[in-house]
Amino acid sequence: MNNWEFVIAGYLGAAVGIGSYAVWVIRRGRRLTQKVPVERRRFLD
Amino acid sequence: MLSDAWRIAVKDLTIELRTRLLLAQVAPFSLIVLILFGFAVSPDLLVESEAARSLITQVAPGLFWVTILFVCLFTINRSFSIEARNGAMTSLKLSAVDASAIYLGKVLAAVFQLFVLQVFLGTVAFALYRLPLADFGMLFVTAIAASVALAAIGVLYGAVSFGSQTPETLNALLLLPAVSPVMLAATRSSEIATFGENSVAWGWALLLIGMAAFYISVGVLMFESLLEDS
Amino acid sequence: MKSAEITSTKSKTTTVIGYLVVAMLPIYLAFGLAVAEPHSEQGESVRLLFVHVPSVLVTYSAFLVVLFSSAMYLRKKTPYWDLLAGASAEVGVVFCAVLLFSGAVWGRPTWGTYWEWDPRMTSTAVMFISYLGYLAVRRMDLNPTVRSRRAAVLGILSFVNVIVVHYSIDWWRSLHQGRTFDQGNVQIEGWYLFSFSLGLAVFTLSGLWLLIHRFRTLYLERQLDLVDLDSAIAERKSEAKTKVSP
Repeated sequence: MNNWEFVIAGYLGAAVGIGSYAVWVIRRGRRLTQKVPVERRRFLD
Repeated sequence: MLSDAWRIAVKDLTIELRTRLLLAQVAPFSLIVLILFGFAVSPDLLVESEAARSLITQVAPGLFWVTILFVCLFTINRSFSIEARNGAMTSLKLSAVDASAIYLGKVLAAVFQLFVLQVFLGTVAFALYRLPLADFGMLFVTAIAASVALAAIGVLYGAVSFGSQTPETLNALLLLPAVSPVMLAATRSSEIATFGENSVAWGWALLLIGMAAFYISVGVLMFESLLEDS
Repeated sequence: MKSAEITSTKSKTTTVIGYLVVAMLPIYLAFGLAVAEPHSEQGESVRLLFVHVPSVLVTYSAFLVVLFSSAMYLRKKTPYWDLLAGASAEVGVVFCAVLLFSGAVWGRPTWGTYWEWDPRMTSTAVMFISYLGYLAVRRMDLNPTVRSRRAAVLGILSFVNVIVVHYSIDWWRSLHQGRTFDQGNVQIEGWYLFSFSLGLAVFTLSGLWLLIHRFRTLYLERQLDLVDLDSAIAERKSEAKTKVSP
């Protein structure tokens, strides 16, 4: 049995889904950090 | 607490009797939905083909309960929209009535309205979809238990979206997934009650009663957190 | 790190997690796509399970975090629990989409259909939509405290869906594979077990990475709201001063 097209679609779909969400989160984080005053930019490490 | 709940239920039902929203708008709406399902199968086929007739008879319990879900949605929206105007909710909270009494009262009123509409719609569905009736007792228990479960979940979720700018659509999005197990159990149970294939007999009806009890207790416990407004 | 140096939501922790994921990703792909042998019955499509099963576990864990932090928010009323619940629900929804998609493309070659009305698949779709509803409640236009409390109640209620998904398989006999680790057609051993563990590590770490970053963006959004509130109050105060003077 050879079902590579489904395997590739599954892996690609997962990568695109998670990847684009990650990019969105990071870019949103960068944009928001610029807006927030310096003294409020504290993260709980 | 129970007498407070009773008073709130009577208040909701009085408002309904005076405005007749469910009777004058929701009941005819549910009727057209049942008729539209016939159009979806095609009226021509329903006249000519025995297969089409038996198809719609077979899926009738499911169609009926989908329609009841829409009715439930309208009932719940109504139950909270009457509290949204003139700060009615605030005065309700200021009246020193327990949150759980408010919850039980609203559930009680919704149960009554849902049950009345189920009786009306059920009678029509039996005629429209040519249904047999194997076990009236089970059908009755199913209708009561499903009404309680739908109202218990509905009032709980209705309070979550209360005060939002678009409570109707938000409520639809929240409520329909939440009541889907109730719809499943009610459909199976009324299939058994109408067609009499008793593979698990009362199992689904008991499951419905269990769900109703579960959500009533959750609602009594959590309603207070939903009502606080600061 | 000094506040002034912060220009993004990254920190030492997330950098380490990020590098770990980047380092493990090629090994995971190599084992999942090449080293692990095709299955005797499922053929190559068994490789999709190395995506599907880890995404299931991350989805479950994310929704478990929503349950826990919602309960904690109702107890402690600290905004951080609310932010954690929100971040975790969003990550859970993303992984739940991946799980539904990978399940569908796995089902097509294995069962011959993308969608089977199997109790577990159907209840998973219902769970997905109910958490979308949870996220919609978090965007409701209401007093933030009230909204957080409503969201917390809903975050607890929504967990019923996860329980239904998990036990649907025992409650209804169906054609879906049993729980992978105790039954089912695919025996998890040898390279399969290794690829699974790698997948699990990659998915869990990416989920954690996303969770931390998303938590911080929500934290920033909150800070921004507080800044707006502060300036609004200051404006009112100066307004009052000018108006009161006769």
